Amino acid sequence: MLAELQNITKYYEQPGSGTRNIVLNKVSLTIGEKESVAIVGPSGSGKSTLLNILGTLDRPSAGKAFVGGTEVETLDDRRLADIRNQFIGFVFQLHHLLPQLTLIENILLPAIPVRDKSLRKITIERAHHLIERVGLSRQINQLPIQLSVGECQRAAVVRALVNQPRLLLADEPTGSLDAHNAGQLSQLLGDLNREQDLAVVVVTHSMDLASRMGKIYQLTSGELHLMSPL
Amino acid sequence: MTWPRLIFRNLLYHRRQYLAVLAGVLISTMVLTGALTVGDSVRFSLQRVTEMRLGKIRYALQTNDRFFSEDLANTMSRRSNMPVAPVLQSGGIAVNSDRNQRINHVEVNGIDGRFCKLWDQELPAPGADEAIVSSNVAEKLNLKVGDDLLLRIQNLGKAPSTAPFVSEKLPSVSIRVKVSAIANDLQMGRFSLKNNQAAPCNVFISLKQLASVLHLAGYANMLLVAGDAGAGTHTEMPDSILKACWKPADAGLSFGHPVFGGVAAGKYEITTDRIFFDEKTANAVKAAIPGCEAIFTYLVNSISYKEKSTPYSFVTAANEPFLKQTLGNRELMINDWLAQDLGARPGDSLMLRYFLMGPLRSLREDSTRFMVKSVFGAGTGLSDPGLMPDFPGMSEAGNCRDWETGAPVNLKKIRDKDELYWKNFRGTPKAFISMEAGKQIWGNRFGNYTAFRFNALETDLPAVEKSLMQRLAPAQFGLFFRPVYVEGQLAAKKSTDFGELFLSLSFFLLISALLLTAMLFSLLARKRMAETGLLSAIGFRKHRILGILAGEAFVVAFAGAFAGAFAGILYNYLLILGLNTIWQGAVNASLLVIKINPATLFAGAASGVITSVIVLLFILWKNLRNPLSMLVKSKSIMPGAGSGKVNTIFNDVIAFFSTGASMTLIAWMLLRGRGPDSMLSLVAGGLLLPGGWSLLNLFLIRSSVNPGSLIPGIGQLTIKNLALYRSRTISAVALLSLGIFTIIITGANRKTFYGLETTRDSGTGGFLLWGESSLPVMNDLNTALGASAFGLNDEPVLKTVRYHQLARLDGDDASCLNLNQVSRPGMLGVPASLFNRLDAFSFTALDPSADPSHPWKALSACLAPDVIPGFADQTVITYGLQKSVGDTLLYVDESGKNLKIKLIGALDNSVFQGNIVVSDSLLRVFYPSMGGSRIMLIEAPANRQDSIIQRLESLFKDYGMMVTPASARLASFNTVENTYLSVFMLLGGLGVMIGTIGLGIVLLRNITQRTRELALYVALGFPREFVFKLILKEHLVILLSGLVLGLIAATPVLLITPVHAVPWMLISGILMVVLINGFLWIYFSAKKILSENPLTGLREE
Repeated sequence: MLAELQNITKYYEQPGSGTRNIVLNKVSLTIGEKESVAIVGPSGSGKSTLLNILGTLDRPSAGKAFVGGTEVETLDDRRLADIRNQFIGFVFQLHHLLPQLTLIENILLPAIPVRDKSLRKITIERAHHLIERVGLSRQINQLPIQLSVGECQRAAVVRALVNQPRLLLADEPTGSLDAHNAGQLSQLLGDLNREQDLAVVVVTHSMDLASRMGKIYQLTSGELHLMSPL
Repeated sequence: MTWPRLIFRNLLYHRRQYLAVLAGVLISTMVLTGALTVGDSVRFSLQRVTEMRLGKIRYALQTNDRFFSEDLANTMSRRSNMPVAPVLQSGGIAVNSDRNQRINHVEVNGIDGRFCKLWDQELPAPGADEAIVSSNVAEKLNLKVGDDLLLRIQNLGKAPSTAPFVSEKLPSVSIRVKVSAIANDLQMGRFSLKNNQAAPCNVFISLKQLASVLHLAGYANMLLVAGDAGAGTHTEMPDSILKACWKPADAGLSFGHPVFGGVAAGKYEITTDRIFFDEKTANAVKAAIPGCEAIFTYLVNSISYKEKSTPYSFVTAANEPFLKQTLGNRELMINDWLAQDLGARPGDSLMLRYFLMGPLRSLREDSTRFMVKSVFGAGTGLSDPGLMPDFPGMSEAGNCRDWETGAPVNLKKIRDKDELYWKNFRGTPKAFISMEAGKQIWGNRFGNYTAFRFNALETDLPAVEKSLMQRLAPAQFGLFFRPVYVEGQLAAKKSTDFGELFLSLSFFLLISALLLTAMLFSLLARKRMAETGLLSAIGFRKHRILGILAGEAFVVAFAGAFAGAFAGILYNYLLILGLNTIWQGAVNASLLVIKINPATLFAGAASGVITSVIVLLFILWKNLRNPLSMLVKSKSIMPGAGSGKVNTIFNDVIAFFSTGASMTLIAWMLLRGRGPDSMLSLVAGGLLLPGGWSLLNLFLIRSSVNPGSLIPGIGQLTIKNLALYRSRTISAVALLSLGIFTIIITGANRKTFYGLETTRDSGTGGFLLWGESSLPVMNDLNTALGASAFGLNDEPVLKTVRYHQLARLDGDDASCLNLNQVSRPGMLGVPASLFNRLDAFSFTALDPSADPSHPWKALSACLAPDVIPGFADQTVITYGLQKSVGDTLLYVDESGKNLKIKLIGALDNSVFQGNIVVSDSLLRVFYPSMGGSRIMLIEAPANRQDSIIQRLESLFKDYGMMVTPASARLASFNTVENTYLSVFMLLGGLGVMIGTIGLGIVLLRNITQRTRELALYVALGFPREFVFKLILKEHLVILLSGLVLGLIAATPVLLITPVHAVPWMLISGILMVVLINGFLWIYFSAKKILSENPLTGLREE
């Protein structure tokens, strides 16, 4: 079991009124090894919140979250950072590549907190392999501004995978792409799920992307329902 | 929804950011208003000092060494219905012998009840042996009412002390008085006719007592006319009343029968208590009394014929009809006593030997040969002892041996028959020469006549007096009024503009506050770019959007400026507090009071609104100049943007040229070995700044394109991040380094000495000491006579010492120690030829008429009959007089005529500061009565400086002599400038601190723009400490780069500045405060950012 959410509730206090806005209501979810999951739902349904709790970027108001078998609540910030660095990879709607760094530097950004030199060496090799895999070998020393949006997003995927995480979380990864690039990225995520021994959770509006995942969950009014496969 | 409502809602919603902008506007307006209000406060304080100095006095007449009847005050008062008070003023030394404390320069004022009535808070007039002292005198001498006070008062006399045969008086007379009252500032304590804010040391004693001890009973030398608040503009009124009231005695003229009326029966005689009639008065007498007989009697040392000689005789020069015969230019008539004594007969040639008197009572014996034309007997009418003028010290002498002639008398030469002649005939002239010959050989600057005689029987004496007085102008005897109150108010009004000064001193603070405002508003404007785009998308035109934002900006600017104007009162309070205490050196007083002028507050607020609105509109324009469609899109930043080839080359050129030029200058200075050059050091340091900024820019450009390590470390990331926001980084570093450089340079630029103050071209002229006495020294100390008079020859330590005594005409102090604008500064007569020979002092500017290689030569030539050239210190010309080289100053000479001083040169920071420097010889032409010297430049070996000072002060103790190293005198003038520099440093330091707040703002702005980047770090598993360290490092690099670059640039100047002259504590203190302040801003800003939820940066909704 890579990650598990047990009866997760997340609410925000309404400023001034004292009432609560419940975003997630006793949601439970289990992500197994190499599993691929898509979470769909209308805007504001709490998809990203769910993903962030899964990725330890956010904490639930109630319920328990486990990552790699460890309860997140018990971990301090430093340990959580380690988990995000080593265990989880993130892809966002925007690529968030740092404009001051070249493509390879951006991709190797997650390697900075890694102290083990041999591991760093392996990471570099893996980075080159992944870059080649996603077809960005020629752009390796280019700055983000010199790349297309699709290339940037592919680089962001490589960055997410460079530390060989076991869980890839993608929040609307195709949201900012045109149909062609979105299709390419959807294909890539599916392929990586298979090739890289990787569990993938995507939050998306795109049914094309969702259809490439093994399971699809619908999040409506804070409640999660497993949809039958398309 | 309406526009105002939208603006109101926007202001409400962005209230925190707008409050920060408002704070920036508030600070800048506060600085502006506060500085302007300081100007008002200083002006008001100086005007208040004028009120305190003068009480109800509106006009004043001051004659110094001429005296008029004190009754003139009563006559004028009766005629004008205005209170008029006579004062007899002299300089002096005040001693509290119980405590052995003394003040070397006090004004001793002889007053009576009339003077006391001129003050709002009236004190009873001092009685006999009583004194009222000003509170500062009481404080300095630890005096209280009832204490004894010893006064040593300068001895004054009606006859000019340097006129021929006027006996040398004791320099001072002493009296012991009891303190009857202590006069505070609102009573008469500050009484002074000089436009100066520094409190004078005043002692008031009874007019009768002072006149009595000075043998001037019934006389005064100052008239004060009171008036109401509106009076005091025109002097015509008191001058015309004076003209109507004055009498011959007020001009020092006496009408009477000759002393031995029996001999000169039927004659009237006019004499002057100054012994010699000046040319103008003599002409008036001749015009008023046609046919009057002019007489010029002189003392000759000897009349010789062959081996025989008659010592010490009076000889009179006159013409027909007095002589009843005509004498040729080299002919003389002798009386039968002399003819018998010498065995001379008509046709014999006699030699007359006589003294001629130069400056400082210096004597030169001259001689002329005359041929005896006739011998006259006792019955001819010429044997008249009344022809001898009333020489003080001679007329009353019982025998020749008791004569006090003011010239050496060889007693051995006086024979018994001479004593007998004196006993029988007193000063009856033994010989007569023609008036032309007399003028030719004895003519002197005081005049060429000693009496005028006219027929009493045929003359209506009152009519003659009237006629004469009509022909004389009171001004020619120094009797003219000055509108002292109006002059004082004007001098205060036109005083050093502290508003302007403090505006300049607060410049860096002001700029920092405006930059802070700009940064804060820019932050807000950028934050609202999307909102702006939205407004555009829903159909708002660009000018409408601009209108909304500008409306908000106006509201904030108005509110900030309004609050800032009132905060300016607090700023003004702090500055005035500083000027009255720690910065007292700048104002030479501690009397400044706060004056809040609503108009100035309004002007400050208006300036605050205008400057803030300009800044805010500029920021809006900058942010809205792009097409609106762009505003809704997030822009990608290109690292190395603005680093195109041309820009890079330009940057390289600046980097290498500035640094190279700086290094070359430093190397050149070191190699030429001519000592430190502050200007070159400043330039060398200043060049390092743009060089440093360009090098940093270059480094960042290179770093941005340099791939570096594949996995960047925190250091590499820091540099890359700084390079990404390069312009922001360089701006922040530039602001900080410039501020630090300015503070250090200001500190190091405090006026000091480099050990070169003894060179001829320095401000001391190479003279070691400056001596200043309270009482005038009458003798030339370089002569044997002068030296022996003070026992200088008996002191081995003074053997090689040379004294250059300077004549001084009293006037207002025009040095930077006086805040008032001065129109008539004191004049110093200097030995121009000596200075020319020594090539002494340096000049910053010269009139084209002066030879730059020999500027002192130009000082000796009269430019026109009533125009003489003058020099003054550059600071005196520019600030004290508010004039420039080539301008003219107007004085009134001793005879009441206008005298113009044309400023033909500006001296570079000299010991003469505060005075106009003119040629000694020319000064004495226009002020012949100027006697003695109170100031001297002393040349002496430097290694004996302390012992020389000690001995001189001891020998001249009764003269109140203060001897100081000339360099120390220069340093005292530097105090003012140094205080200004300290103020500038402190306010500059505040500015840099605000600059560091700006750095914090830059940090917040950077972080606001980089929330996604920071959130990404968190998402990628970077520990928060890493992100914190990254932010901290980036901004510490900016802070430290600014500090270090500022320090490096200041190093060349620091290296040449003597260690003791640099205010290290102040500089270190400011640097530490800047460093700590900057660090805290960075630390807490970074902490705050990281405490917020980083996920917001990753969200797109």
